[in-house]
Amino acid sequence: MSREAQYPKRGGLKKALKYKINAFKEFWNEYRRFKIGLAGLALLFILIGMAVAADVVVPADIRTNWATNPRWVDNPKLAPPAWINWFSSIKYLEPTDLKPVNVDEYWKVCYAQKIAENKELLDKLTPEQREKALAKFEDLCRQQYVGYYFEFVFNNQADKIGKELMIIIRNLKYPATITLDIYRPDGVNLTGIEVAELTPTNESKQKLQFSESLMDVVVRELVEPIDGPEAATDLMNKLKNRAFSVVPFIFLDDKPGISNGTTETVKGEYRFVISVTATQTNLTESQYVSPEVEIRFPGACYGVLGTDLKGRDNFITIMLGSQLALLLGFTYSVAAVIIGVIYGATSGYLRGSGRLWADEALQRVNEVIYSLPVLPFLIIFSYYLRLVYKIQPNIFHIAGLLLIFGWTGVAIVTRSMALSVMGQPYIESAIALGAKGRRILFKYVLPQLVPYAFAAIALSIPGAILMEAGLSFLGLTDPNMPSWGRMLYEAQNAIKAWWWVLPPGVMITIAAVAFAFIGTALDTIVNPKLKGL
Amino acid sequence: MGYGRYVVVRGLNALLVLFVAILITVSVFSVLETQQLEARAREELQNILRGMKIKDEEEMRRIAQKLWESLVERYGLNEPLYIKVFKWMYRSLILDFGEARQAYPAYGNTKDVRSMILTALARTALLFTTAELIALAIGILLGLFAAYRRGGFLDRFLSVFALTTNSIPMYWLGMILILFFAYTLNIFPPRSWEYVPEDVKTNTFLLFTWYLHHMALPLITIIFVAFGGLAWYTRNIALGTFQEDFIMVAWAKGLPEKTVLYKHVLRAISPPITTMSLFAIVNSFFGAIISEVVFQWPGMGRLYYSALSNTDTPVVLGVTYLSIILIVLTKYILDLIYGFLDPRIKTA
Repeated sequence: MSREAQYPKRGGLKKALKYKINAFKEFWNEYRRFKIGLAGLALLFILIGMAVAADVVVPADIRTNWATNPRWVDNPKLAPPAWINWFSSIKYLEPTDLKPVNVDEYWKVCYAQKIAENKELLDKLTPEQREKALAKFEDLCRQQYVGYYFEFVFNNQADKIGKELMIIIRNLKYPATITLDIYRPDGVNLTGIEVAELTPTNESKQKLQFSESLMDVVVRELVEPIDGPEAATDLMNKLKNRAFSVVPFIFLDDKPGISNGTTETVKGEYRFVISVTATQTNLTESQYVSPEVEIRFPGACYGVLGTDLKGRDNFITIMLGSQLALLLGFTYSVAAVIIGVIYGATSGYLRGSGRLWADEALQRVNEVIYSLPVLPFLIIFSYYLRLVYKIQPNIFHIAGLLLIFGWTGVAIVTRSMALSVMGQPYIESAIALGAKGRRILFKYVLPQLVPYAFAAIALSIPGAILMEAGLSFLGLTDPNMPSWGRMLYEAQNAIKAWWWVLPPGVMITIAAVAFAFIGTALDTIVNPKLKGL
Repeated sequence: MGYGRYVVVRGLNALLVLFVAILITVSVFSVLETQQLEARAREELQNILRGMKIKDEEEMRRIAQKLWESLVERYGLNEPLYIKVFKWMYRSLILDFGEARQAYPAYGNTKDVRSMILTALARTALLFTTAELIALAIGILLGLFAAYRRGGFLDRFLSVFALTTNSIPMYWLGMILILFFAYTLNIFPPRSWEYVPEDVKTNTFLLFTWYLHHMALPLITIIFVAFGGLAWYTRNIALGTFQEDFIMVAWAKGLPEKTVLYKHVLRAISPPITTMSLFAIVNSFFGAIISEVVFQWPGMGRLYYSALSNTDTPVVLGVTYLSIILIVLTKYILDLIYGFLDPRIKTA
């Protein structure tokens, strides 16, 4: 950047703007010779794109409550990404919602039965009497038999169904018993499964994975006839201890080995019939509304990056993590570099203008802080925040803690740069012309350090990102902060879930590398000494 | 400035840093400890009062007050903070960190924080120093080679490689390697530390291979993350030296290549390389804090992690304190070595 470009001699705003644009073009021409810098810039654009996209893609309630958002309940837990089906020979069931194909009301069955029973009698009646009798039948049936059948068809082609099966009942106006019958394509029927006794409700989700009634039916109908009573009791005990879910057994082939869950799934059309039976008759007119019933299979695979152990969508966490990483990186590094540059420049200016002791004092403080080991202190400070102030450190606390140590390196470099600037003849002439201290510092010294400051900002971001990840990995940060380090912390005991372990680390590396590349390129431009290397 | 004066000045500086660092640590610790002791005293008071079953409320309050005062006395809660800080500073100096809140079986059958930390330190040193030495050997050789073949493929590739490996979180790479080598391929054990089987203990060769097999994954991880940066640093130093005038002179004099390389270049770059090496070894201790957790290696990092998750303050303090001393001392020793090897430093 030539001095001329920085300081327009004459002319209005337009001219000044033109100079700035020229200066930028000059800089860009130099920058783009560095392939490493261009690669860093490309990665940075990807990151920024992700952070912006996160604002669009991620619903607002997840941003404020990521850790325990009620949405996660509907997702499968620890499920691989959906695209695994393109590569794997085992097919994973994608999240599936079943709507009833057929709804029947109980009273209609009774009504039809009554008509059939009294066919001869009805035939003898006049049309008017007949009408009355039919109305009587309807009334009787409606009062005695309150309830609905819902029939669902599930065409299963998957090998892995997932652990969960949910029955969702909405708009239920009277207390009712919910039962489930399953008719499998191979002719084995699992009937009479008592799902729940419900009181009137707007929405109720019944999970079947630990339903004892389902266990009973599955063991009785599927396991005992094949593997014998001993294996059956064994399996029953395991299921009752909630060692694993009973849901996958519904779909298993009844061949030897079913008690271990090792047989394949039966493919084909399953019929699920859910009956909602009112436990109380004498309903008022307004209660005759039909409830809505749905079956939901959360499935065995999910989305772009699967889910974690609590059903959280990893893709959403990764996107939110990019926001946090950029926010932390920029907040911390801009603040650290501003403090460091001002400190270093002041220190250098003081020495350059002959006040050695002031410089010496500033240097001593700097050196002490510079020599402190950062990670142990960060750990002990976050520990302190958590225990004494009951604060779960978030991004800004971490940026603040990093800032305590972060400015020192920059200050050391800027001090020596400021010292050499102070030795320049133009400073001497400024002093001779009567310029005072603050003017010299802010008008003549600091502007010379700005290019270096940009390189320093880029170079100090990777450290911040890695530090945050490390602290989060130790579990020292806010559990509701969806950072990449947090993901790794929670994935520690599920290393086999590659879709959970791999992405956050890749993202941390990409973010750190992007700024390291940009910083190195800028540093080479700013520091001509490095150019020969 | 003579070397003696240099040693003293750097020493005073190191002492100042040490003092500030320990003061901060001990102050933090004193506040935490006071809080925990107060909670414990309150609990004890509740227990005593519950056992006494006094009906009269006035009487109850009076006895509670009295008991509380005696408890405050016993736990030393009435001392002002600076006295406590001072006491703990003294105890830290003689490495007496008291008793841990609970025992950690991986560190021997003891609650004494000092002996636990020493056990942990030895294990960390075993793993990380080994890894760092190997990484240094590879890094220095690669770096020298890249500098010698300047502009070659290795040279151009090295900066990208170094910046990338520097950006990889070591603990994450560890997790990935465990996933791949331990769970998918079943080559190495997922836990790097287990109790040595009896039949292995008797045979030295078997013992050695047993350790190597168990340490392989962490070693690969640390070396992979570390050697690129070391190589790049070495290459930059060596390149800078190659451009120095005295090397030019050596070439111009017509000295044989080997003499120039070994007698001039290597000798000139040895001080910064030594610094880098020592620093890398000490810094590897801090990388350990996080990475050991992944490999379940019961060293300093694992101990730190367990203590943090159990809010075991004495252990947290002990490990922090020792890390600080280690780093400050090493920096001091490095200063001394550097000043000795490179006479220009002393006068600066």
